[in-house]
Amino acid sequence: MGNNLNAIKAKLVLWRVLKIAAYAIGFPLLLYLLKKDITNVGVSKNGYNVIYYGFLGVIALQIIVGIFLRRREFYVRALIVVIVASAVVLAPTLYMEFTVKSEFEKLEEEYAERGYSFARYETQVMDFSSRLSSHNSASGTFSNTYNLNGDTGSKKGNNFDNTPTTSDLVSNIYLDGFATMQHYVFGAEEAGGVYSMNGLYADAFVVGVKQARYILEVYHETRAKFAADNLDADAELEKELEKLDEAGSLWKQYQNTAEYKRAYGDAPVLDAPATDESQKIKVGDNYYDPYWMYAPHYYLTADELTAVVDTLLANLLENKRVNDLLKALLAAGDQLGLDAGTIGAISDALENKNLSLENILDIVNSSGLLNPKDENGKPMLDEDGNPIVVTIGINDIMEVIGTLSYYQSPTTYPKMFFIQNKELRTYAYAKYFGTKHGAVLGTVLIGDSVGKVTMDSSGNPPMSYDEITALFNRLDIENEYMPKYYPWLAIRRTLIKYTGFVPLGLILAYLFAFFERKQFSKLTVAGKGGYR
Amino acid sequence: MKKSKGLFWLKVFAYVLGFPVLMAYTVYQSMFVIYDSNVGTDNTTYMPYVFAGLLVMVVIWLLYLLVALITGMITKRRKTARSAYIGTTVLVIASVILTTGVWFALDKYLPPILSSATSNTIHYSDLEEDYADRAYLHSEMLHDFIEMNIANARLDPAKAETYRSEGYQNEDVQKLIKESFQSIDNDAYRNWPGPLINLADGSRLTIPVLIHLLFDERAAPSKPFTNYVGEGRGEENKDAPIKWAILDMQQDVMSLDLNLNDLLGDLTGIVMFVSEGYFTEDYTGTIPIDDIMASLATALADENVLGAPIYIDMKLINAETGVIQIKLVPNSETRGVFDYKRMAWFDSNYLIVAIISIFPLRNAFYIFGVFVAISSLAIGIIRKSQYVGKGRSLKGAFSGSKGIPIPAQSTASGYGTTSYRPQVVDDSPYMRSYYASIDDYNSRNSQ
Repeated sequence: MGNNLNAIKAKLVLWRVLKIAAYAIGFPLLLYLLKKDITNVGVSKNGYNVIYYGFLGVIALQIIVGIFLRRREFYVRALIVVIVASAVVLAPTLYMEFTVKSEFEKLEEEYAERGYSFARYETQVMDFSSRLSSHNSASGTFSNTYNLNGDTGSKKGNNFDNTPTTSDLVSNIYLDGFATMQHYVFGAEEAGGVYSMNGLYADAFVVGVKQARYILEVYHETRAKFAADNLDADAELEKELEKLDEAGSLWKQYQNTAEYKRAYGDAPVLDAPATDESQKIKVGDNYYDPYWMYAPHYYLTADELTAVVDTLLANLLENKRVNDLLKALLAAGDQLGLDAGTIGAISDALENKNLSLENILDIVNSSGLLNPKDENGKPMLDEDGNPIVVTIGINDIMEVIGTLSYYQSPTTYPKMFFIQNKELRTYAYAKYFGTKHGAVLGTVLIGDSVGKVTMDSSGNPPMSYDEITALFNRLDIENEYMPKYYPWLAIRRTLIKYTGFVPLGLILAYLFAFFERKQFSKLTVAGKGGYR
Repeated sequence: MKKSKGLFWLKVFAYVLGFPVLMAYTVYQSMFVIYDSNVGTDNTTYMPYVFAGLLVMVVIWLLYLLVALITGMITKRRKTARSAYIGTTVLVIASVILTTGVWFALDKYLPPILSSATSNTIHYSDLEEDYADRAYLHSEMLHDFIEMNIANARLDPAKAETYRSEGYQNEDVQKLIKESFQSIDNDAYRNWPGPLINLADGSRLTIPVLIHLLFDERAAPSKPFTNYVGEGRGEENKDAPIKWAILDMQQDVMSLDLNLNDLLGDLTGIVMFVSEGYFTEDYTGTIPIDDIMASLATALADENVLGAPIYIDMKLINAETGVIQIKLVPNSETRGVFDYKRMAWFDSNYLIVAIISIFPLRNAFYIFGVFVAISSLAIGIIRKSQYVGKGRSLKGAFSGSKGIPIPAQSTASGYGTTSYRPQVVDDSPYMRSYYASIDDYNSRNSQ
């Protein structure tokens, strides 16, 4: 034992560490860099798969080569492993140069036909990262303009009346349809989402890019189609809805069903919330309290409005200071454009304290304030030469309020469900979701102000349909090729810089392994061991 | 003898450098929390919960001492290098588990408890660095709550000083907080149909949603709102349940600017001229719109639609352009409650204060936990010198579970015929000298 045992051990450790370090700067570091690069590129699954399978493949290859060469000399083994490794590292780059490049040329022609300018391989190889961020921000533009909830809408969407919702299209909670009519679920195949039992989106379902796109497509394309025949889709829809008001229509029949009456009857089935289970009714698979399923509980009715305004007015007149203010305003009535009769009528009402909503509507209607006037202030005349008379009733006010306060019961079909013209029915649904449904949730899709129209935001100007189609044409095409090719471009970028390190790392690793073995052989009693 | 005494004191020093220093730092940090959660009251209003953090720390320290005691005793009795090393390892691992490890666990299990206690309004991450401010906020809330409720006589004004000095320790105060929260929780937060309240809270509060919140049918309130005689309630119904408006959920005054020019156009000038004197430059003596809103509430009371009054105040911002600021004022202050979120915190007062009091430990344990590990290592090394003595080296100490293998070269040189030495004979003086000779041989051989 002339050798210093500790010194041998120390050298052994040194070579072992160097061997591992050299190995690590080969494939493991390369794969790590590739993964990092692909993560930065942001092209998700496909890219990662390339790396994972690549990693497993390299390990498997090393084992197989090792088994085949186990009886070979050390340097032969090292040489073959290095050659195989170099081939593995070079393969993707070669694949890119010979295959992908030519595929890019084909795509350039194909996409040109679809109105998309697809950049050359050499260009995209350099600037794919910036193209990808541009793609992401373009997709964000649409989402931000319309204040959408991700790609596919909110995951949950409850109903205000707590009746069930589902995103499962074969669910058995949907209504059965009416008479011979088939149940209809808007955008079931095209967009999906969370639905109520009546096939409309659930009350609190905020649409995503997918649904918004479908709604806007239906809306604009139906309009364009009717416009091509010199027709106005809205006017045609109005006609269809008027037909439903005729006696005997399916809609009228439906309004006589228990299902409809439970939601929109003159009074709720129960006067107060159910106190025990037996009062509840079965809808779908579960039992619900009919009191809470009564739709007028969720909007301002004409009676409620009248009650509010009348009490408000009564209180105003009771209050001396408000009364004084109104009288002062009335004294300047002629400057405000009121005629003597109207001023007199209001004065009487103030004096007798009988100012009610009905009273005010009467005063307004009899004053002729709403009658249209020409440039000289003279009343406009109709075809027969009589002055045009415009009056206003409680229903007109309710119509205005109805855009802000309404409720469609999720357990009954809406009127538009009964529209016979299928094209117009889909149009009516799209319009409903783009306006009324969107107005509740701050995702207005149709109108002069879209997206986030809330208490503290007035929304955005809408995108034109041309802009939208161009945007989606672009996004669709980019979604086709970017996930497919961009991981390869990212891999290629790293590989080109890094190819040399893999064989170098392997050569060093074999070399250090050789030295390690040599030291180890000094430890054994018979001096045997080490590489042959 | 002299040396062992030195080692003893060195060990004591190592013990002091570990946990006690960490504890002293934590106590110092906790003082802020204890002081801040107690502002304005004469005693410790949140006793004993505000000391929860320090209690946790003492428990952790006792556990550490227990591990130190056990490992120390084993080493002392066995007097083997092996027991010294295992003891040291166990002590170091225990120190890491009891400092960093405990916080890893708390970081995982506390957030859901905190979220559910505060209806998702305080998140764990809010407290990580800001705990002292949160403690202060809590004492401030308590102070404000007591003052609001003395003012509206829900708390007896005659006992005002008692409430102020006793703070949360006072039973009346505790009861009132509990009941106020139950009322606003059951009859407001859980009272709106379906997902409406969540829409109001998010960035999707639209006008239709607001109308829904104001006018939708809601279940009648059922929790008593005790000892309140405001809003036309008399002695006979002073404990009756009360209705809440959506504004009460926020507490803040909502203000919006109304431009008369936009509404009235050319008529603005006339209206402004005629109504001069009705709009004033401040909020006092304004047009009595609150009467209007009260009557609006009355109008809807029969239909159970809108039961709670919302007060409106107006202020003239610009007489020339006719801009009027309208302020919507909730009932919260006159009723002596905070908005829903703060009432939820308030209801979980003890728990939140207890959780806050643990936070001074967090950073200290994460950052300085390493000192405990180092001092544990030092203690282990000192113990080995103390109990095992010289000549008992590490060689082979960890190679087997039952015994220590004899190094290969020993066998080669003809020493020993068995590969393992039985551990139990460590205590035999004869075997000890025998193994000492092997150790001597090994050390001689490898030099």
